[in-house]
This record gives sequence, structure tokens and C-alpha cells, in this order.
Amino acid sequence: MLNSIKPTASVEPIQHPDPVGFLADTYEFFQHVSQKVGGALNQFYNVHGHLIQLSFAGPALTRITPALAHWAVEKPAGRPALTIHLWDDASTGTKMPPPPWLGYGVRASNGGLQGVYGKRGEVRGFNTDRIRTIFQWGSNVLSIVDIQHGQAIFWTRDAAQLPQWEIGSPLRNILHLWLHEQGLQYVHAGAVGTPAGGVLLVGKGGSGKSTTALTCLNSDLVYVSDDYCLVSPDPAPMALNLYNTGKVRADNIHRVPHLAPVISNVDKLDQDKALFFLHRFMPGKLATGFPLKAILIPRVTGRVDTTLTPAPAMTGLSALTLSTVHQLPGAGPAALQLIKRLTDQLPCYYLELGTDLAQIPRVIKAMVID
Amino acid sequence: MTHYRVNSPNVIHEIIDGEAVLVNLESGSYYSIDSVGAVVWDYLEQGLSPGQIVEAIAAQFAGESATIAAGVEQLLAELQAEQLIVPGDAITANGHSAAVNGAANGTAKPLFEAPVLHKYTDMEDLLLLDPIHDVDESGWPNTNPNNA
Repeated sequence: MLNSIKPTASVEPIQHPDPVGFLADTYEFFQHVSQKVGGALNQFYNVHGHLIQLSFAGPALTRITPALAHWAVEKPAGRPALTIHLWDDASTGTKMPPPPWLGYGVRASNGGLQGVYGKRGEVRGFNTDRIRTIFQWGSNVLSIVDIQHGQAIFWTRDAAQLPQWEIGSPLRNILHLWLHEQGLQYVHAGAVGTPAGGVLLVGKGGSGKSTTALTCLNSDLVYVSDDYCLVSPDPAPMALNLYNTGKVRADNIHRVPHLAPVISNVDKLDQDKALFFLHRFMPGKLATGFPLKAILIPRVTGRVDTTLTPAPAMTGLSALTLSTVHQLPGAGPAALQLIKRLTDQLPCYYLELGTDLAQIPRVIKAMVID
Repeated sequence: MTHYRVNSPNVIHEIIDGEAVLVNLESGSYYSIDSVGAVVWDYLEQGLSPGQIVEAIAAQFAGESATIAAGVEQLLAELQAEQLIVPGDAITANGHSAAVNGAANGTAKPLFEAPVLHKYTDMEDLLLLDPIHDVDESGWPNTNPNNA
């Protein structure tokens, strides 16, 4: 039976949303689930000096961890800066209680009642400076982050049903929201270069970021990301790695034949992008980060040669900001300011992609060294 | 009727997945417009006059002419109030005929819905209120990854 939240006269606006209480109740439920399955399974990751603990109730959701495996550490002596509690209903045989906003609407600015969920999954009334609550459409993942106390919740109905993008770039909302408070901005961008300096590849999906970044794996350049990475504008612009993954559309695999032997999901290429875990197969190619020398906006030209054309500085800011804001809940004016500080310091070029792919890393390397 | 142009360089913008995403760099506010509104924004960027935009939208969407004109004019007023567009010189819009012709492709026209400019300024306003989602007996939405 469907139980729709309809903006009708019978639905009341939620009066006193309590995000702190909701987090406490949800954490209490995690503890119940954890006890039921025999205790939590804890893993630790040191991401750019920030110790993060993943505490699983049951092993099902450990399937999201390979993308972060290169940050894994033994149980440390210190206290984690962020602890994420993860579970699903299906594998633990539990049932998450309904949300406190079930049956309520919210009063919109025009006076009418509307649903509580935002376009990017923000739950209205349950987002404050301290607590962020997101329900991710598509993956059906509830994420709650207590920015102040470094606690987070990651829950979904069935770990086995998570879409591929939750495996390739897991914990996106939690990491984006928490790392922003640490001065690191999660952005939708690729990054390749040399240890001494590299470039940020920006543009919306399908613009050539992934193909460019993955093509560079067949050269002497190092790799930070093809899709999502972290950036820091201070004291100098840096691109920092987060995931050890790369992905490419199945019909583009022929452009990166050097990666064909290491596709992790050969059996699912009819529905998903090809996914690679570079930490396993090319650990030497994975860089933790490098100083940024420029922003490149890939453009497919159909010509043979790859060239660089100067682009207005605004173009890089625009491409990086808009595709990031579009995807990440809570990416607001503060994120915009951080991205602007970064792009203000960097020249911007169109990377006019030619069909001779071997030229791409050479052009990038020449520009970086220059 | 007044012509408008995008308030560049103060405003950056892009149409992503059918949604126009706009950022006013001076105020730090950002905005989005779905569906019809994104098409209107595309026409503004091409340099169409308000009259030409109404004509093109009417060719592309099903609805009463007066309703379409009112919806488009309301959106233009809101865009101007937010300094996302400013009055500009009339220009010859080569895209106009292409836009109108492009709409006449023989398929049924989607219904015109008055475009809404969504503004985000702080955490509470970050919410672009979504169409109501159905939930099942668990009380949680259950969306298809391919349709999200």
C-alpha cells in the first residue's frame, strides 16, 4: 500500500523538527541492529590525516569500501575524527523505523504545503549548521552527519541493491559535507599530472573528463581522479585524491584498452559503466595529490591532434561550480567561495581533444612542466 | 518590449540534465529552473526577445497562449529582480527559427507548466522542493536508480 505525502488539507506542516533527536534515535537503532548481528565490524581509514572509522552492523555494506582501500590503516590509538555507522535492513533482518517527517509536509514560501524532500535529497527541517540530513534519490541511502561531533549515519534498505556509483564513489554526501568543514572541497572533477604539478579536468558528465584522465594512465603521468576529487585553495591550489577508482562508459572502453584487463564488473557492462580499482592494479599511478597548475576543460573536436586554447577564467569557475552544485546536497555559498578562491589562482584552457589519444598526456605534461 | 541579456560576467550558468543552474557571483546565491524554465533560459541565452520566447514556447508546449505569455513574463520579471538578466540591446536571434522549427518534430507537445525560479541562499533555502514522492509501508521512499 502506498502512503503518499500529499500536500492536501489533511497533511499538517511539520512544526518542531528535531534533527538532533532524530540522529540520537537513529544511532540507538544502529546499536540495536549491531547487537542483533553480534557486534559492529570496525574499519579505519586515514584520509589526508583525518582518521575516519567505518562501523558496520553486518558485513553487507563493506562492499562499498574498495574505493577507499588505499587509505585503510590498522586500528589506531587515537580517536577517529569521524565515525560513520552503516547498516542495511535486508542483510540484518531489521526494519528501519519510519522517519519522523512521515505524513507531514512543509510550508513553502508561497504558503502552500509541499513534500519534505529536496531535489538533491535534503530533508527540510532536518538540516542545520550542526546536523545535515540527506535522502539520496536513486540509491535510497539516508545520510545524517553531525558536523560538530564527527558522527554520521549511512543506512539503506538493501546493500545488494546499491547502484554502481555508490561503489565507485561511496559515502559521497557524508564525505562532502564533513570534509568541507576540514577545508577540503569535494568537487566533480578529474585530476592528472606529475607529482610536481597537475591539472584539474572540469565539465559536466560526458564532456571527456574520464576518457582524458584514464588515457593518462597509459603514460608517465600520475592520477588523482577521473570524476570526483578534493581541492584545497590554501596556501596554494591543490588537487587531492579520495577514491582509487576510474570508470568509463562501456562503449568507450576501446579508447582505454590498457584498462580492459582490470575491469571489475565485466558481467554488468550492459547496464553500468566499466569500473576499475586502480589501487589493486596500478598502485604506482595513484597520487595522493599534487599542486595545481591549470584548469582544463576537455572538448571533443574530431580532429587528429590535441591542443590547448586559452579560455576565459570564468569558464573554469563556471564549469567546476555548476556541475558540483548540481550534484551535491549542501554545496552552498561557502563551497562557491572556496572554489572561486581556487580558480582565481589558476589559468584556464580548453583541452581540444584529438582522436590520437597518445597526444593527450603529452600535451598535458608539456603544459604542466612549462 | 524590453530585450534582456544574461547578466554576465556576474552570473554563471549551465543547463545540466534539463535543469538550468545559475549562480550570481556577487550575491553568492544560486538558482535553478526546471523544465519550461530551462528552455526559456536557453532562448534568453540565444538572444531571443520576450515576444520571440513566448512564440517559441507556444510552439513547443501545449497550453493557452495567454497562460504561456503570463508564465514566461512572470519568470522574466523574477530573473530580472534577482539580477540574473538585465535589459539589453535587441539583437538578431539566429536561434529563433531553429528553436521554433526544432519544436515542430511531429511528437505530442508536453503540457506547459508555469516555470518556477528556485533560489538557494542558506541551508533552509537549499531545498528545491521536489514533487511529492510516494513511500511504501516502511515509510521511506523507494526510488529506481534509473529514474532518480
